[in-house]
This record gives sequence, C-alpha cells and structure tokens, in this order.
Amino acid sequence: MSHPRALLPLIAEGLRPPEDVRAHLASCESCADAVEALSPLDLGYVWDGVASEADAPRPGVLERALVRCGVGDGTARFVAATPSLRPEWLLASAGTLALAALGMAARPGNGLSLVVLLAPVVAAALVAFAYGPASDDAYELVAATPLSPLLALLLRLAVVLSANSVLVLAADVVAGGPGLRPSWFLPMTFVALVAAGVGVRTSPLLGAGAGIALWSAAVFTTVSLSEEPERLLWGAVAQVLYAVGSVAVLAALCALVVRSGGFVTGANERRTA
Amino acid sequence: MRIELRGVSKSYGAVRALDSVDLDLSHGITGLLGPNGAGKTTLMRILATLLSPSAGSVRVEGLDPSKPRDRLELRRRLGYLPQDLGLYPRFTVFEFVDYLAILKELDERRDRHRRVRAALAAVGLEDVARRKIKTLSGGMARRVGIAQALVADPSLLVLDEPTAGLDPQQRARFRELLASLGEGRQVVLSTHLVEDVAAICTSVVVLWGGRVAFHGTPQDLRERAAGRVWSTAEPSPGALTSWRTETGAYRVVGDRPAGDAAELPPTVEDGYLLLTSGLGEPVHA
Amino acid sequence: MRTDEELIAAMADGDRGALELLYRRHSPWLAGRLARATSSRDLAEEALQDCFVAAWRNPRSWRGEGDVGAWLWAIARRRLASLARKRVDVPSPVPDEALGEAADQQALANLDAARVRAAVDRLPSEQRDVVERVVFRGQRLVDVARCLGVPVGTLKSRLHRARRQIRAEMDA
Repeated sequence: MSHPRALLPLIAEGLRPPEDVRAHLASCESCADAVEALSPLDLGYVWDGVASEADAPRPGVLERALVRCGVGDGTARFVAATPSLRPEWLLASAGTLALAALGMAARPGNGLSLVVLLAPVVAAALVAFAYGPASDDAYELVAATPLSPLLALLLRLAVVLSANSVLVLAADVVAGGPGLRPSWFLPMTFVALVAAGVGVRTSPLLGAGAGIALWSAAVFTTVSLSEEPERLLWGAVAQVLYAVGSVAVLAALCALVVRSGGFVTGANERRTA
Repeated sequence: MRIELRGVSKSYGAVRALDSVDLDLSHGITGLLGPNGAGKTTLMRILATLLSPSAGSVRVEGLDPSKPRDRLELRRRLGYLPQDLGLYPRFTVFEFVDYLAILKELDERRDRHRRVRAALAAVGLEDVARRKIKTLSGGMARRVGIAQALVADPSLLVLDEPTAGLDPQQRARFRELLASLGEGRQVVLSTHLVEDVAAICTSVVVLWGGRVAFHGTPQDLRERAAGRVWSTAEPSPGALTSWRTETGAYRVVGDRPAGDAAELPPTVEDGYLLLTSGLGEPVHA
Repeated sequence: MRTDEELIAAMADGDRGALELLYRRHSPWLAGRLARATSSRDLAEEALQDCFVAAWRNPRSWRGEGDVGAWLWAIARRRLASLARKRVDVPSPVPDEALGEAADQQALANLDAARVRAAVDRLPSEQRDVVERVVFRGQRLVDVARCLGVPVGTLKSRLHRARRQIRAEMDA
C-alpha cells in the first residue's frame, strides 16, 4: 500500500487505524520512524521494557514463597539456586528415606529406626553439595559480588538442612515413628556440618564421604559394643556431644569463610594459579 | 579508579606465583601479557578481591581489599570475568545474568531487567536471551560471562582471558565494545594474544615468572624492536625468529643478519618476543 | 502476512517475534490514547509496557472475539487505572468514553488526506516545516536536526504541538 502519511499524526494521538494500516506500520521502516517521532511516549524505551520482561523467566516456586515470607529478592534467588535443592537431588533423598520408611512400616517395632539411622547420611550428601567452589559452578562469580560470604554459607546450610528435616520428619511419620523427636535432629546436623566443612576445603564428594564414614563408624561401634545402642547413639550424653560438636564445626567453618574473604579455594587453588 | 600494588607476593606452598610486584595503573585499558603460569590469573584474582596477597599491599581507588568494609565496597564497583567461567547450564541466558545482577544489589526488578537486556545486547546475545545456557557454543558462553561482568555498570572491570574461545569476528566486536567501555573506567584484562593488547590497550604489563618484566604503552613495547627487524633473502638461523613471508623474503627478528638486509617497521609482537627472549625460561607455577 | 489473530496464537507458542510485530502494529495508537488519558508520561509508558507484557504472558485471555486492538486497549486501560490508584500525585485517568471507539469512528469517518494537509498548512511555520520533513517526506529526526541545526528535543516538542493541533482540527 502507499504510505498512510496523513494518518500518522492522528495515530500518534490515539486513533486506532484499520488493520491494513497497522500492518504497514510494522513493516515500513520510514512510517515507523515517523510515528515514533510523533509519539508522545518513547516507543523504543517501552519496547526495551516489554522485551526485557518477556525474556525474564518467572521466579520459581521456592523463590516466590521466600519473597512472600519477606526474604529479600537477592537472598531468595541465591537460596533457590542451591545446587543440591534441584529436583533430582531432593527426589533421590526422598526416595532413600521413603524406602527406609516403608521397610520400617512393614516390620514395625524392630530395633533401631532405619529412617533415623539414614537421616545423617542423606543430610551429609545434600549439605556437602550445597556450597563451595567445587559444587557451585558459579562460585567464583558469586564470591566477587557484594553478597556476604558468611550469609551465603549460612543460608545454604539452613535451607538444605530444613529441606532435609522436612523429608526425615515425613519419613519418620510414615514409618510409624513420632516424627518430631530429638533423636535424629542433632546427629543429622552434626554429621551434615562435618560434611560441609570437609567438602568446602576439599571436594563435595570427599565431604559427603567423610560425614557418612563418621556416622557409619559411630553406628557400627555402638552396635557392636553395646546391648543398647540407642542409649549410646541418642542418649542425653550423645545429644550434648552432637550439640557441642555442631557448634564447634560451624564456628570453624564460619571462621574459615570470613578469614578467606569469601573465596575458599580449597584443594584446587594451586591448579588454577 | 587508581590501582596501586606495592611489593605484592603470593605463594602457594613452595610455589611463588607473584614475586614483589609493584604496579600503578590509572584510567584506561591495561593488558596483562605473559605465558601460562606467569601469575596473570593470580594477579587478576587479587584485583577481583578473591585472593589476598601473602605479602605487600593493594589499593584500588584508596580501598584496601584486606579490610572487609573496603572489600565489600570494591565488590560493588567490580565486574569480573574469571578464567574458568562456571555457568548454570539449566538457567536461561537472561536468568543467569539476572541472577548475578540481583547479587550485585540491583534490587529494582524492572530496572534490573532492562540492564540485563542492555548487557546482553552489548555482547550481541539479545536474540538468545531465552535459550538454556547448555545449548550455547563456547564463544557464546564466554559472552554471557562478559555480559554479567558489565551488567551493574562497574567502574573496575577485571577480565581474565576475555577473548578466549571467540572467533575473529566476535573478537573484533569485543574490541569495539571494550574500547567504548574503557572511557571513564578502569579495565584490566589478561590475554595471551599480543594482538589484543596492540589493538585496544592503553598500557601493557608483561608478567614473567611472577615478576613485572615490562610496564608501558604498546608503542613503548613496539619501540624495543626498532632496528631489530629485517627483511633478507636468506633464512637467518641465529636470529630470534625467522620465517618466509608471502613475498618470498625472510622476516628476521634479532641482530642484523649477514648479507643484504633491509630494516622493517616493528610490531608489538616483535617487541614482546625480544623482551621475553632476554628473560630466560619462565618459572612455572 | 500474519493477521493479529495469528500473532496472538504464535505468542501462545512462545514466539517472541510475534510479540515484536504486535507491538509495532499497536503501540503507536495505544501510546497516543494512554498519553491522552493521563497527564503523567511515566504512568502512560508503564501502562503501555504492562499491557504488552500481560498480552505476552497470557495471550489466551483473548477470547477470539472482536478486534485484537480493542482487547489490548482494555488491558492498557485497566493497567493505567490500577497504576494511577497507587500514585497520589497523579490525577485519575480520563474516563474511557471520552477516548473510546465512538470518538475514533468519528475521526476515521471525517478523515481525508486533504483535510489533514489543510490542517498541516494552518500550523505555525516552524511546526509545519518539521511535520513536512518527518511525516510527509519520511526524513529521520536526527537528520532533520542536523540539517536545521536544532536539537532533537526541540523538534520533538514542535511535533507534539503540531500533532495535538491536527487532531483537534479533525475532531472539530
């Protein structure tokens, strides 16, 4: 069609043109430039805004939930990007605990609770892969941002331990246990923190391995030494030890992160020097 | 921005990656040249507030990265591209740059999204904004890294090997971008391509075995080869380099060869070769 | 060439190019109406942006009845109203009746190129010159600015005055 030039000032004043004129505006550079010059609004600027919002992904479920609870945008996004909170990790953990729970439910009242025994093992794996140069691909990029490294560490630990606690709680209830009980929480936390500490300094795999080895050793020793392994593993004395141990490991981990200025290079520091 | 390094050393166990480095850098684009293991990445990480030196002091615009408060302030002004760039393969291009932008305290969502789009446009990635990072080529991934370094409008840009993995067109485009970014801010980039430095840098630092072997303008480096580059009819085995050019004559860098020889204008690369030939084998960290 | 309806369908399949085309077709007149509905330019721009973002995120809210333009205007109008409610410093937007379809149809019916030309001819000479160059000869604003040695901003404000004057004459 010929250029609908006489219409352009009226379109720029809000007149809705017929469809053929609209199509012309989208395909004719010269008319588009003229109408943009006439427009009372900055059409290019608005388009940049439209395009950027269209390209921006919608925040995920966890991130939206955190923001609704009053958590800052940046913090929420950082938590939601935790490597070991990805669906396959959570599914694997939930699966392991579910198997244990079903086993327990099939043969109730039979000695040590499998769920409670496995809780620290699952937590060690999840936590070791939550933070650190080897488990977070963008660790070095994140470390160079103003995000407080201590906050970053604590956030990741807290969110992964919470997720794991929910899974254990559910599994314990399925298995016929009381759910909320002190027997699993403190040993789980302690073993997870050991895994995190070793993991940050070396590699997540070694970290998880260290946590699991520590817990297995404790379980086998008590089972072979004592008639009442529950008392030794979960009694008052043991709980105090777990609590003290957790605080000590956490303090050491925080000190390490603070002293390094947020860039814990661990074992691979020399390789990339 | 002004960067001052005084007696900066960094050791990993027995290996000395940096050995009493003194440097003063002011506005413009500084290129860090040197072979692998010369200490480039260590120096970049120190400037990016990620490593603290074993000895010596660092000041960036008066800020001391060893003090937590100064370090935080510096990180607010910093754009950093690491050599080993780690991205989240399952994020989209936009999502990843937006993630870093949010960590860089760009809290206002709409404004942040606009900046992300502008940063992606600056590196020519606006059309793949919604693609997953795992579907990108190596050169595109590198450009995602450059986009995240630019997104918060930093006054100090630390770019470790920014042109690695880029093809010649992308490199040319990147140089244009960088030349425009160099105005009004401090850019430090490391590279092993002398041509990058010759094309865009206002100053050059050559690191060799953890020490500063040269600091000056690209022209200064080129001048070192003045009167040491020749064209002859015969190969010159004793020279530093000697190769047959497309005209059939030999281009010789080094002392004046025997026989007929015409002096040629030197390049920055000639200067670099002559400089480093006098330094012996670099100590590999 | 794709119709508006086809563009909406393509957007539902995630086609960003379709969004851009839809924007190029509809943003000019929507911008004009929003700017007439409110005295705040920021608000009008925000409403225009929100309108297309909403269309992109939820293209299925178009039920396939009537004109796509009417659907877009309904979204833009709602967004403008809700944005204006949050801002105490901005007077509430002009009610839709004053801007809506009836006025449009009237203007379209009255429209004839000769009348627009006549309205342009009655403009003050400075304004007429810019309209002549930019609208009728298709010169780019930056080129006109260089040619006349006048800043782009000045030319823009001349165009704005001219545009309002022309519309007023056509509505009369």
